[in-house]
Order: sequence, then C-alpha cells, then structure tokens
Amino acid sequence: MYNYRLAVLLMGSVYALESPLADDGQYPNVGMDYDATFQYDHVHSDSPQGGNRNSTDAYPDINATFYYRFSHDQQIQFSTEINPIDGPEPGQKRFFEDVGLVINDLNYYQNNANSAFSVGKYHVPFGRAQDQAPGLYTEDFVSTYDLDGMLGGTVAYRFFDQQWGMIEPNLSLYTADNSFLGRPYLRHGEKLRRSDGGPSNTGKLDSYAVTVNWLAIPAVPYLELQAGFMSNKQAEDETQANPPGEDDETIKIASARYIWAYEPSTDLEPTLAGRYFDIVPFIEFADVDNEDGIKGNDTRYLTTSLTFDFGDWSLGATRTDKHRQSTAGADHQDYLNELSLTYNITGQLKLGLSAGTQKEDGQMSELVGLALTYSGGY
Amino acid sequence: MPRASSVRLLARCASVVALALCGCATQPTTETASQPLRQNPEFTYDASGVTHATLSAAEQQVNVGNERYVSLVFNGDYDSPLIRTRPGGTMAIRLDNRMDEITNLHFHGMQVSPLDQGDNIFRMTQPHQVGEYNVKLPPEHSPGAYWYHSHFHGGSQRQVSAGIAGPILVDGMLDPFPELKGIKEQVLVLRNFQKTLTGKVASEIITSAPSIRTINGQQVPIIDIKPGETQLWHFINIAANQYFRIRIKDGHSMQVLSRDGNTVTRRVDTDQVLIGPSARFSVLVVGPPAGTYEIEAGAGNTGPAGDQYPAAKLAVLRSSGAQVATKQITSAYPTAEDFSKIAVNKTRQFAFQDSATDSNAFLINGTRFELDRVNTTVKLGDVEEWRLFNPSQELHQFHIHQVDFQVTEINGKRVEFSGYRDNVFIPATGSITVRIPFRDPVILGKFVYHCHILEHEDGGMMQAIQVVKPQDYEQAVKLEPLGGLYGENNQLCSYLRNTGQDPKASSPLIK
Repeated sequence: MYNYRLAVLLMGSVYALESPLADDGQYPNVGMDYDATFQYDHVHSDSPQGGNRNSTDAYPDINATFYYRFSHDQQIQFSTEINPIDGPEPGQKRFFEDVGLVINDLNYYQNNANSAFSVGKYHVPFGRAQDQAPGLYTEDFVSTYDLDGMLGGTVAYRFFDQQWGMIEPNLSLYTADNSFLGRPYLRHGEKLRRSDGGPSNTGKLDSYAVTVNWLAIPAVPYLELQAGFMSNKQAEDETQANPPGEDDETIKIASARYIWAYEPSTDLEPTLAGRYFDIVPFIEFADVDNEDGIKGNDTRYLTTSLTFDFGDWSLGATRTDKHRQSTAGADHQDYLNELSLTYNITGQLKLGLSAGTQKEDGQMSELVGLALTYSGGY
Repeated sequence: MPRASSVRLLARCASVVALALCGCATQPTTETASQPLRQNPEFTYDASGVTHATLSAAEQQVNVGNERYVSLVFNGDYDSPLIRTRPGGTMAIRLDNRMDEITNLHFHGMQVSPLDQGDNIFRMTQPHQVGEYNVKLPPEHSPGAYWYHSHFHGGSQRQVSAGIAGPILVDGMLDPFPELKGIKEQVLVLRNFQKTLTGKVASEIITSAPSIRTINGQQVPIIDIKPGETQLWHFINIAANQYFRIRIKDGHSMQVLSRDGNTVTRRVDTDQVLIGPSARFSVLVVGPPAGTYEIEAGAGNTGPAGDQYPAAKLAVLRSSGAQVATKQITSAYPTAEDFSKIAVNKTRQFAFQDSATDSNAFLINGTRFELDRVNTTVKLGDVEEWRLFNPSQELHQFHIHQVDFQVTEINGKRVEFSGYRDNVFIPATGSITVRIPFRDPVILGKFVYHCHILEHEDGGMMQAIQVVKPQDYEQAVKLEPLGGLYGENNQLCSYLRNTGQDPKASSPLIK
C-alpha cells in the first residue's frame, strides 16, 4: 500500500500548491468531444509456407470523451472507444464485426498554472511515435509502450526559463486494469484477469514511467525533445503450468521532432489562404528489455518519419524498425513502412489514405488503408 | 455478426455521420432576401461628453442572420449597440447581467485606466447583478474603432461567440483630413455564430464548425454606394476565434486609414484586408461603376494544428445613382514616434505554445493563466521590446490591454513603420517582435496580454502584467505571486495600502 500513499501524497501536494480559484455561475457543467472514423484496411500477407492471403476489415472507430467540469481547471473525464476488439485473422474478410466498446479513461483531471495531474484510469504519457508519426498503422506497431487505460495517476510540472525554454518532467504510477472497467462492452469479450499475469498486471501501483519533455527552447524554438524510462513490473502467468522465463519489462526512450517551415508561407495571408508549408522530421528510439515480461526478449524500436504539411494536405512517410535479439542468438528484424496522405475536406472532416509494407514475425504483408474521420463537440 | 445487423449498424452510423456533417439546425427563416445594411442601435454622448448606456445581457431568442437561435445577447438583439464617444469623453456603462453566469466587460484597445470601475477585467459581475463602469478617455485618446466584450476567463469564447460583445467608435478620425469631411461612415461589425442542432448557442465552441457569418447581425446585407462616392468603412472583428480575409470581388482596392483605432502614418492600399480576431480596419472605399459587387470572406486555414473554415459571401456592394466626385486624402498623415529608432529599456521573450499533452490547454512560457498572480512587472515610462515566438503549428493572435505597440519584425525581418496596433498575429512556427511604450500614466494598474483566439485565452494563454511607478518596482515584483501591487481586484485602494500610503490621501498615480 506504500505506493498508493505515495501517489495520494504526491497528488495532494500538487493540489495544495496550486489550488485553483473556484468559479461559480458557469460551473459545474458538462461537455463532450468526439471523433467518428470509418476505416477500411486491406492486408495482403505472404505466408512463410508459401501462398498468400488477403484480409479486409471495414470498421468504425468512434471515440467520445465526456467531461464533468467542476471549474475551469478541474474535471472528471470519461472516454470510450467503439471499434473492433481484436484484429482480423489472416485471410478473414470482416464488415463491422467484432465491434465493442472499451473504456479508455475515467479519471479526475486538474490542470493548474504550472502543473497537471490525473488520477483514475488514464493513458500513460510515454513516447511520441504513436501520435507524431504520420500514417494509420504505426500506433499499433509501437503499442508495446503506448499504454492505454491504466489505473493509477500521473503528474507533470512545467518549468520555464528564458534561456532554456520549457522543461516538463512527468511521473506516472500505474497498474494494468483487470477490473470491470477493463472489459469490453456491447459484445462478448475476455477481460484481463489478474491470473493472466503480464507486464504491470500485479494489482499494485508498482509500475512507473518517467518522461522529460523539453520544448520551446528559445535558441531552437521548433525542436521538441523527449526522454523517458518505463518499468513494468511483471506478474506471474498463473494460467500456464510452465510459464516462460519472466522478468520486469523496462523501456528507455528518446525522441526528437523538428518543425521547419518555409518562412514566406508563414506570413498571415499565405497561412490563411492555405499555402502554409512545413516539413517535420521525427525520430524516436526505444530500447526494450524483456518485452511483454519475457526474460531475454530484448527489442529495439527505431521510428523515423517525415511529414510535409501544405495547407489542407499532409503527406507523410514513416519507417519503424523493430530489432529483436533472440535468446537463441539469431536476430530478427521486423519493420513497418508507411506512406500516407491526409486531406482536410473541412475543418471537421478529413480523409486519410495509407499504404505500406510490413514484416512481422517473419511474415511479409502489404497494407492499404482508408480512414474518413469526423470530429466535433457538444 | 450477421450481415443484416452489420448493414443496420452501418446505416445507423451513416445516419449519425450525416446528421453530424449537416451540423446545422434548419430554424425557421425570418428573412431570406438580402436587405440593406442596417445601422447599429447606438448610444452617443451628451454635451458634457458622457455616454450613458445600459447593456442588459440575457439569454433569449434572437435573429442570427436569417435564422432564429437562443443566444446570450445585449439588449435583446444579436446586433449589439454601438457606443459612441470622443477623446476626453466618458463612457458610463451599466452592465445589467440577467444571465445565469458571470460576466464582465473589457473595452478593447482603449488607452484608459484599468483600475477600479475602469477597464478592469479582474472585476466580475455576478449572475443577476449590475456592474457599473466609468471609463474616462484621455483628451489625447486616439479616435477610431474599438469594441467591448466579455472578458470572463474560461467563458469569454462562448459569451463573445454568443453575442456579449459590441462596437465602440471614438469620433474624430477624419479631423486630420478636412477634405474628407461629410463622407459617409459605415460600421461593419463582423461576427461568426456556430450552427447547432439544438437551436441554442453552442456550449462547446468548434471553430471549424459550420457557422453563420454576419455583418451587423445580417447575412449578406446590401451596402449602398454611389459611383465615385468615397465612404469610410469600419470593419470590426468581434468574432471569438475567426480571421476575416475580406475583399471586394472584381479587384477593387481599399485604402487603409486606421488599424486598431490608430491612424496610419502613410498611405496603405490593399485589395484585401486581413482582420484577425479582435482587429479593426477602417478603410476608404470608392464607389465602383454602377452594378453589384460581392464582398467575400476568403477561406481560412490557421495552420496544420489549427482551424479551417470555408469562404463565404459576406455582403453585396450595390453601386447606383449618379456619379459623384471622389474625395481623396490630400492632407499629410499624422506623425507618430517610430520606436524602432530608440533604445529600449528592457527586452523580454514569450513563447505562445499549444500544450503537448492537453488539446484544451494553451500556454505562455509554460504557464496557464492564474487569476491571482502577476507574471510581468513593468516600470512606467519604459519602452520594452517583446519577442513573441510560436512553436505551435497554428496561428496565435497577440493582444495587450491598455497600450498600443509597434510591430518591428516578423520572423526576424524588419517591418516598415506605418502606425501602431493593439493585436497582431504570431506566425505558426514563427516569431514577431513588438515594441511597447508603457509611458502613459493612465495605464498604471494591472491588466493582461493574451492570445485573442478566445479558445486559446480561455485555455490559459494569458498572463497578467502590472505597470508601476519606478519607485514601487521592487515592492511590486515581490508581490507578483500574491496578485501584485494593485491587489486581487486591481484597485487603487489596494495600491495605496500595498505601498504604505494613506488611502484617504489624493491619488498618487498621476503625480
């Protein structure tokens, strides 16, 4: 229980330090943000045994976040996602199948002048490839360190210096959600159980992540840096008589993103007229020890991408390499190449196209995807 | 899942998306054809120079363009009253808050006292209470177009978008140009109202959502002019978040006479005016040959991380009648001090950035606005240079209360001086440099600078500044975390108390 006390103490300290002024008249109130995507994926896989298989999947991905605001700075947020619970099997053709609802967030969130924290079920802020690398599939490829729906708390503090810019350390404590909040709804599905074991599924706040973001550096204002360390405590898999060797999963990460804008396009008229042009290189390296809690399953991820933004258009190229050092000594190299194009049809409706090649566990695939997304609020 | 239920699910999803895409209520139309531009209801000044006005803020059903909506408006009309005043005049405003929410008033762009009952945005008017404002304009106050609006932090975007905002005109802009005497002035108040399915003003403002863009509350009004006639148009952008990129189609140019209530120092011609949120442009327009001409707001795109909105027909310019003689400026433009040529007392830099972790949070130097602390202290008499940089992939719109400034550089490149402003864009992934004269004793007090895309301001992109007499500087800096020298409510009595002076003594501020 020590960790729980530590978390409460930590959050309480921040609250006491920056207790916001309560508003009345407009609060409490409720609000909602949403985005609804229709996505179609076509995957052509080459089987190592010869032959090939085509799978298609058309599905919705609807995210809704509901807010109950106590004041301008304090709120409870509850977010759900409706999408297929599992991916298609190779060769399977699906149309709106296996769709269920999962709860991604249910937390109390407070954003103060220099700090922010949330307690409850939340997304662990760690790594940037899942958000910053363009394309439809990179997010899944780096899901090892993109942890959604964890139970615990996270706190960040923003330091600013006229010479150094903004330095934002962030600490997250969490455990995997094996409660009723972690099960899928609107369909039959297995929820994570404590006995399944796995990284951070210990029932205790004994997994943690630390990141430091360094942004808005006056000398290089368009450079964004992140470094981080994550430790996911391994829980024993009680469902297997002879589970594989297990150990805690640890991840070290570093990333850099730079926005280079063609200066004449940043003047007011060209920007408003949709002629703003920038190029955004991004690189992220993640060194994973004991991925999935399997002892010796050490991997390295390297994501590199280049994004070209021009007015309503965005063209992106992303490559993610995943290097796995086998316990048997033979190394494996997986990768994902993705070329993507996004067009903002209106400010609320966008169309994304993506095509790529992937090698995963020795299997080669070609991917083509289309996503139409509408976003709004109420 | 069986195919039939999949199809039904798809049909349901398609219906939801179609409804969302529509994003608009088909409210009963009350007027369909274009009507001549109506003049704003007006409060003007009496012989002593005092403008008495009561602004009753209430939620009620009103016409927004050609549609009916329940919104928050002043005096029962989406077209808010024009407050007319003059240099040396006083605006005695009674804010009758009949809404169920807090509000207040800011007198945008005016160089007036921020203390007490002046342009004091730290003072709130509670629901169903009355707030009194007495805003005294110095005799040398710059004539031109200004505006008033809610500055209730956290609610300003919604209230301004709903209608809690209106125009102000300080008379005298044409005084330096007697050759223009008698030309027709038109106040053109630019607004954007988000369409909703509920028939009520939106509770969550989506800047890119389908909207109704109006001039003086009208959709596509007709502006009449005679061929050859010179008119003075005051474009006042009181939309919460939108930029207006306005041109008269068929290539008619306009001559800029004033920006943000500051007469330009040299001739400036343009074929389109780029009016950022909160900006005002007063332009001379000459009637074209007989015919009708579309006045268009171009599509807007504020950057990859910003908003997009489509082009819209704003109004129709109808030129008719007999040709009249065109009046042109022949007098010299007023002069103004070029601050780029003087040594500044202090240089500061500010990063206006989107939060990397919270899409609803916006920061200045890593900080969200906090009502009870001061971030910047300035000595009265100083001229400061501020470098504003924007690491975000969307525009921000810098505005500072109580003072005008000079833009000296955009992205490090020198800008030729043509007059002052009170707001300016900060390029997406770019920078802008301004020089600000904190010289006029009337500005002593606490006020704010912020992004005037009000979504960003409400999200925290705002900081408080106090201007103090040089001898009070050290004490004022010490009091920054406690709300500054002027106290939480920005009052003269707090200043006197905090500087150890007798509150019963006469005001030391103007000595």
